Amino acid sequence: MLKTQKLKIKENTRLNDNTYKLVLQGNTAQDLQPGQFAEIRVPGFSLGRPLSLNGFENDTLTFVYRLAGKGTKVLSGLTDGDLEVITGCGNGFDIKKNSHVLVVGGGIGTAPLLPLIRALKENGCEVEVIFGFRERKETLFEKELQEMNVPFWFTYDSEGENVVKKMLELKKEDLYFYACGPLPMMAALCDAGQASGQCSLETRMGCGFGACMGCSLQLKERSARICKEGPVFMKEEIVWQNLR
Amino acid sequence: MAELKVNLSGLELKNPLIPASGTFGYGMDYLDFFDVNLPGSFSIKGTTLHPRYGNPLPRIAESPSGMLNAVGLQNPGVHEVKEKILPELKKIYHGKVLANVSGFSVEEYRECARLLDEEELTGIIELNISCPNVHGGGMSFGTDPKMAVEVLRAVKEVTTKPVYVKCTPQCPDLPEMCRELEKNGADGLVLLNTWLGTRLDLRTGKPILKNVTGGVSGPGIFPLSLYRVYQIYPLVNIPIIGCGGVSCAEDVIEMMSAGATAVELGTACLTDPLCVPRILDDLQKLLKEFGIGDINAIIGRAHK
Repeated sequence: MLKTQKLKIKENTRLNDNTYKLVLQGNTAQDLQPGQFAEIRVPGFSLGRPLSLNGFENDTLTFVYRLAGKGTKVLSGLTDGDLEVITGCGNGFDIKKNSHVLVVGGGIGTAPLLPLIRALKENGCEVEVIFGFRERKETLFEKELQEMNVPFWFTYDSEGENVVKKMLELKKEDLYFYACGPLPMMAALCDAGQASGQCSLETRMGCGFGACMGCSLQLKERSARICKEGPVFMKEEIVWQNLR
Repeated sequence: MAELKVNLSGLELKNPLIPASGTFGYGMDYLDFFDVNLPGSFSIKGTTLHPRYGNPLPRIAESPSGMLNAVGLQNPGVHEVKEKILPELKKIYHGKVLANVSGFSVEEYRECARLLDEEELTGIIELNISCPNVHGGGMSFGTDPKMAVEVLRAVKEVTTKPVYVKCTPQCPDLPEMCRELEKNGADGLVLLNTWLGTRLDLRTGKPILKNVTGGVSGPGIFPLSLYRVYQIYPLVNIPIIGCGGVSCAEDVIEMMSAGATAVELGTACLTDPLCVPRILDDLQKLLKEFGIGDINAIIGRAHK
C-alpha cells in the first residue's frame, strides 16, 4: 500500500566519505518489506529520490544513502524539519523459509540487504553474506553483521578482490542468492553460478509509483516497471543489456 | 462552493481538472492515493494499434522545475486496452475518459481511433500528433498542417465522439495549424504537449536519456504553454484544454483566464500524486476569495 506522508527528520548523519544515514520519524506503521523503497522529496527538486529501506519500525524509517548528485547533497544537509515521503514503493524480496542462502551486496547496494538478512534469519534461514566495497574506508554495516551473528566476508576493489571471486573461492556459487549492488556486479554474479536468485535493480525513475512508465524494463518475457513490479526481479528474467 | 462544472463539446465534466495522458496510466496507479473519480476526467496512456515497448532506459531526467521523459509511447496496444484494461477500469471509474490515440501512419491512427470510439468509457478522442519521443510518427504529424489534417480527417470519418487534437509546441506555425485543424473538423484543441529538450551527464558529458532527447514538462514550461493558449484562443471557436506545467490552483485560474475550458495536469500528478484533491481544494478557496461563483465566468477573460 502506497502512502504519502510528512515525516520528521530525526537523524541525518555522515557514516563515511560519501554515505549518510537518514532516520525519519512519524507514524510509519505499515506493512513494509525488505527491498521496498520510499520516494523522498528533497526541497527544491522536482523528482523524488528513491531510497531503499535500510530499516523500518513502527515509528521510524532508516535509509543509508550515497551522495550521487545535487539532490542527495542537499538532502545530506537537512538536519531538522519534515520531509514529504511516499512509502510502500515497489515489491520487496521474496523471503525464503528454512533455506541456506547467500546475500551479496556491493557498495550502497548493501543498504537494503540488512533488513533482508534479519527477515531471512527470522524465517529460519541459514544466511551467509559477502559485501564488496571499493576501498576499506567505504565499509558499511560491519557492526550490524556481527550483531546479527551471520558469517560474512568483505571484499575491496582496491585490493584486487570482488564479491564474485570471493563467492567462487568460498564455493558458495550453488547457494540461492539475494543481490543488490552495481549492475556489472549483479550481472557477473548471475553468470557465475547455476543457482537461482533475486536481484534488486535501479534506474532513473519519474514518479516511483508506476504511473509514468519511466522505469519500465524489458525482461525476457514481459516488461515491468522497476518501481512497481520491481525493484526485485528473479535472475532468470533479467536481460542485463536492457539496463545499460 | 463555486460551480466547477465545465462542458467540452457536450461532455460535462464536474470540474476542469484532467490528469494528462502518460501521467495517469489507465487510472489504476493512483488508487492508493485518492478516488480517481475526483477529477473531471482523465486522459488514458497514449494508445497505439499495436503493443509498443517504448524507448530503452534511461527514460527520465530531471530539470530545475520539471523533468524530461522519453518513454516512447509504451502501451499494450488497443486490443488489450479494450479487452483487459477498460473493463477493469469500468469497475472503479464512473466517468468518461479522453482516449489518447497515437500512431505511425494515417491508417493506424484511424483504426486505433475507430476501436476506441466504440468504447462506452470514451468521452473524447484525444488525437496525439505531438509525442516527441517516437521516430516516424507522433510529433512528425503535428508539425505539418497538411499531415495533421490528413490524420484528423481520417479519424473523423470513423468516429462519433468529439475529436480533440493535442498539438506540439515544436510546430513552426501553431496559429496556422490550429486554424487548419478547426477548419477540418477538430472539435477541440489540447495545447500543448511537451517541449523537446535534453540533459547531459556531468561525469561523461553524454546524454542522460538513451533516446538523447525527451519531452520537457513541469512548472518551468507553464508560462510557455499559457502564452500559446492566450495566443490561440481568439483565433478559434472550439474549446481549448490548456496543458503544460499546471501544478496549482493559481495556474488553473491563469490557464482558464487565457482561454482554456479545462486543464490537463501532467508532471504535477507524478511529483505530487495528491495534486488533484489539493488543487480542487485550493481552487474553491481561491474562487471564493475572488468572488467567482462559476468557474465558467473566467474562461477567456484575459481577452475581454
